[in-house]
Amino acid sequence: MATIMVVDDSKTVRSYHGSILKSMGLDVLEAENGMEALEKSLGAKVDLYLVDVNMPIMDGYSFIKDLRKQDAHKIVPIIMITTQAKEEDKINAYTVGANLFETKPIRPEQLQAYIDILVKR
Amino acid sequence: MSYLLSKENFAKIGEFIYRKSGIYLEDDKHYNKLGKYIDTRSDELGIDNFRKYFYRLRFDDNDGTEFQALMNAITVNETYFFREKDQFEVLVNRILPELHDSIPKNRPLRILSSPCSTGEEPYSMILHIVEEGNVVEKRDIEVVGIDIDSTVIKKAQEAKYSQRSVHAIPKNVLSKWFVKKALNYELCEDLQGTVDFQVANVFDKTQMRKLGKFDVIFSRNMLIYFDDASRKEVAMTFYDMLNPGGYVLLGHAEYMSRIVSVFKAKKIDNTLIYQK
Amino acid sequence: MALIKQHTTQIMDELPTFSTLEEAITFFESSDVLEKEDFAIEEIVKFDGGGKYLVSFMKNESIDKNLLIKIASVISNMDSDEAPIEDVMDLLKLDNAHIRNLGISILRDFSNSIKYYIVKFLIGDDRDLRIFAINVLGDVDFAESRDMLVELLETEEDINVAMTAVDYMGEIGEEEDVALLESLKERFSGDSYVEFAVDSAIKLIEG
Repeated sequence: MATIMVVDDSKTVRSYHGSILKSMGLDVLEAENGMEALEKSLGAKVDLYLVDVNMPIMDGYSFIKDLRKQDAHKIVPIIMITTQAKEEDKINAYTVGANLFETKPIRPEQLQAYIDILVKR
Repeated sequence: MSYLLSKENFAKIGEFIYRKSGIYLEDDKHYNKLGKYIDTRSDELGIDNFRKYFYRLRFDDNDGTEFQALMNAITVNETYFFREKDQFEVLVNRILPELHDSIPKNRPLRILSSPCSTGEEPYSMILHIVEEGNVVEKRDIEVVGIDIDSTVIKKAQEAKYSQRSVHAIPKNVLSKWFVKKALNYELCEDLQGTVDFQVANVFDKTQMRKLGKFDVIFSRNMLIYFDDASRKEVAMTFYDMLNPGGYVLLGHAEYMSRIVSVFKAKKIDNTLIYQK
Repeated sequence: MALIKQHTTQIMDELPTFSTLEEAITFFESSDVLEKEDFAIEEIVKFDGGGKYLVSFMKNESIDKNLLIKIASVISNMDSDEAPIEDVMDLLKLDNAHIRNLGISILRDFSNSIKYYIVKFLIGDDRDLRIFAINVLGDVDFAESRDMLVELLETEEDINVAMTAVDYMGEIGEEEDVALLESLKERFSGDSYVEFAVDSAIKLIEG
């Protein structure tokens, strides 16, 4: 079964997206910040990451930068999610290795569409 | 059994505890313990519902003692030999051999236990090291144990332990390295003095500097009791005290992700460890 | 080779003492050894104006990531009446997300001292700052936290800001807040995210 990790410091954001993903039959892992996401990605097979920008301890950009350094995670799809989509934020996201940039919350239909293209099931 | 603590309230207080300490409450593990504790504590305070207790915890706890008391109630405080023993196994089977290869032979491998309490943790390291036998044959290993409490340091230096303290040591290891005297187990002479015990305060930078640099630091179930800023401070102190490539190991329910991002997280044999 | 029994005292490099902030800064800026820098930072912060200097140093984009974190940690551990809080606030305006977030984490460690700013942020234009302010309210022991969240929720139009507040209402909200929470569903036109967040919060309140 495919596994998605939701990385966001808001419990509601994690739970909301998590519940949509679960209803699609996916396994969901959650992390509160980039460092926790790194810890949980160790030895885990994650098929897609949803990553918030602003988080304590380690923000989204730093997380993606570190994740992409690992051989196991060089090509896993990453969608960055944020409260406001500023031009510089988008460019920063793509520079560190995110594949997509979205404002949150991501709607169920949109999320389904992304899963369909990005995740092999 | 019905407590003031309902299942919904359990979720609520669990959120709060997780945010403040990083400890994630589990239903089967913590619900009853927490329920009993809150009932008792509410009784002491003359409170008759969860809401009032929670309000006190959140808004009326200026010196943090209420939260501290709660933490003490839900964490296992007792120390005993080989507690969370997979970490000792990772230490001798994976970490020490790796460090032995990468570190110049002309200096000892140094390990710190902080807090060392009455010595069970550093002596557990020693026992694993001598039982593994290989690395210690090829190079010097030095173990240092520190604690802020001088009475526990004194006890640690005596190296005399109760049945309860040694209960998790395999019988053959126990009989090999301990001498039974009346009701106590005394560490054998060969191993006496192998741990350098010192009274020290992790917040005292000068004291910490004097201890020198280490290759491995065990700090289990200490950081969870500090507030966020202090936790960061001590984590950074540990970082400073490590040689490059050195490791920190925290308790099972503790994560650097609550604290700082400077360490690199690694998983070895299913154990989470942090490297500089 | 063996377990060391003769425990030797560790030989320490002699570390200098400083009598002025300038001396400490000079040492810090001329040093490229991380250890010496760490020591210098701890000394700098002891002087008047040292904290201010460190915050302005943080704005330097090319500093070593770990050095930044060390500086942030040292500032976090200052006494709240001596900490350069206004200067740290400036960090929130930077483009660099990493430094901005460090600024936020420092301020969260001074939660109790920044009540005045929290109130300002809550009614300000910057939605990320509104979210930050809400997170602080959720973190600290302000008796007024709930009142402030309720007030915010009465008029908040941004969905992410509102739901951040709803998150905390689940924890500190009261029975009388349920009606307000329910009204959010209408304000946000039945959005499924809002339904989800509000229902979760109400469940915790009524629990």
